[in-house]
Amino acid sequence: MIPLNLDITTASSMIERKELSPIELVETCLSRIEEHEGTNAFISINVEEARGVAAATEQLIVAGYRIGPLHGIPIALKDNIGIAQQHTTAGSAVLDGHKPINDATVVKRLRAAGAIIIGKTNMHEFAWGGTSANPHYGSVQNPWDRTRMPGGSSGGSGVAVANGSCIGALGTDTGGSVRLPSSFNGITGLRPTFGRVSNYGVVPLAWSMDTVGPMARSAEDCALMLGVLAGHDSADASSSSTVTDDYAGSVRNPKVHGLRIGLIDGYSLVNIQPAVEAAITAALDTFTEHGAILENVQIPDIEGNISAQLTVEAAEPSAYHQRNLRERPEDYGDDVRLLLQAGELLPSVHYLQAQRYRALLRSQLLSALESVDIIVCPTTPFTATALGATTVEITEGRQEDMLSAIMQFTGLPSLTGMPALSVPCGFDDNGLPIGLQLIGRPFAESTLLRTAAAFQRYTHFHRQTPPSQKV
Amino acid sequence: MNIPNVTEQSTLEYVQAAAGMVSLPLSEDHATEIAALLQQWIPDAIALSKRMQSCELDFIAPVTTFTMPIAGPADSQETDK
Repeated sequence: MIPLNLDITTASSMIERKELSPIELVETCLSRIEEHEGTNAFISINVEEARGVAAATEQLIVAGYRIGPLHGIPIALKDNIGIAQQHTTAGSAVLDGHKPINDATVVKRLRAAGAIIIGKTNMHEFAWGGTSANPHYGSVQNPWDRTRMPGGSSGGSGVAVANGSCIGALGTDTGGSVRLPSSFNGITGLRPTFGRVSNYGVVPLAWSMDTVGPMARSAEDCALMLGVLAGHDSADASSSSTVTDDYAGSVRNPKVHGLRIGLIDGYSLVNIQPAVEAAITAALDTFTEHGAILENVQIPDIEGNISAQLTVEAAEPSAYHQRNLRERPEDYGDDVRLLLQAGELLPSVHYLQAQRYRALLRSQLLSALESVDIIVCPTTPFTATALGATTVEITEGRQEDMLSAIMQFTGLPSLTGMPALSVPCGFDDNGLPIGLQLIGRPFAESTLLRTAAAFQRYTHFHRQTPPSQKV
Repeated sequence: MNIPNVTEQSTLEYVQAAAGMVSLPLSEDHATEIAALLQQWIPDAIALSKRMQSCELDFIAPVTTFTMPIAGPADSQETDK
């Protein structure tokens, strides 16, 4: 019996030692996908391809060949990541029947590392939303409580990792779409520095903020995946040529002694649910017990971040969708159509002031990161809400709009292009996961991964699995 | 000069006019929904614009895509996978 919390690092070394068969691993994942069909986590499943590749990878291992660090590992892809000649819907009826000509660069890199693409996961339509309530492919359900939402927009990827339907997954993160479902589903997820991982072949949301990131059980797994994904790609105009790091190496023997952790005054611990505050405070205690140093930092203009994010994230997709909004508006779900239409009507000067604000915010964040190594805050100010909720109560008696509330903490790295990682750090009274967000300097993914890996040596939140919930 | 308030009616009129300017077909219902959404967003966007009008920020150019600063010695070479 393959455990539900099997991680990539363990599975990979077991496969290499011939203690675990890729065929058995794929069959287990396929049976779990079927078992949890009601969570609507997948849009399509590559049954035959996955079985064929599993058999081939097993033969290679028997013959003494290991293609790469992900040899025989079943990985799921968010369905806005293109695979040549396979349906790529981005969770929308608008792209029904769409088959890209080429693989996305991240798909090529996963395959070259030996990964088995097991299926394409459900998402918030066109990644424009944080709940994964999808009118075309069903609302994705949180495996920790099927009456709750899993976050989004990479909700299906978060659920698939949490319930063991795959061992790792890719999500995309514009305003928080890797980190939000990682937090709500109790897994680890990384938004890389803008430009670190190629966006080629990925259906865009907002060009100036889009990233692709790994979602897995542990920071060690995310490091392994990032090592495969990262690197310059001439096919992506925003791809960075900055050299990659040895991410997998950076998480070996991780420690936090002497690490300077910043808390943003008036922001990091403000307007959050009591259970979230308790979990974050306990996580900070864990860090200081192991020698980390807490410091307060200032970001004077943090207040405008949600408005800037709404403006940029509304305006840019509206340009991409301009034709389809006129030719087939009925093929969009109501919420996304509304956001796209609204985005097209925003004054251009508001968009440009928001883009100027991003430069201001980035300079202030970089200044803060001169005195500390990382900055921390919750990933989300609240735990998973009921399916379909459009408002959320963070402080008693006050309902807040879901879209603004859900990006309260994820917007800062998104707007500034910095890397950020969500790591499980506790549960609320209902057993719902809570995530801690670590924010780092540009291209300092290794620092985030090492810090998270150390935290996962001290704690076991990432080893927890959702209660068994039959469909 | 008076600055007009952002009201429900003025936002709806703006939405209808702006939709015409960009040739975006909108039903009455959709225009009303968009007006309600923009009425939530616009006051904060105006506040942000006001902040960015400050003289001391005149040197800041808008970001469209980032060229990230070099993070350290390990980042001084180029790579291509």
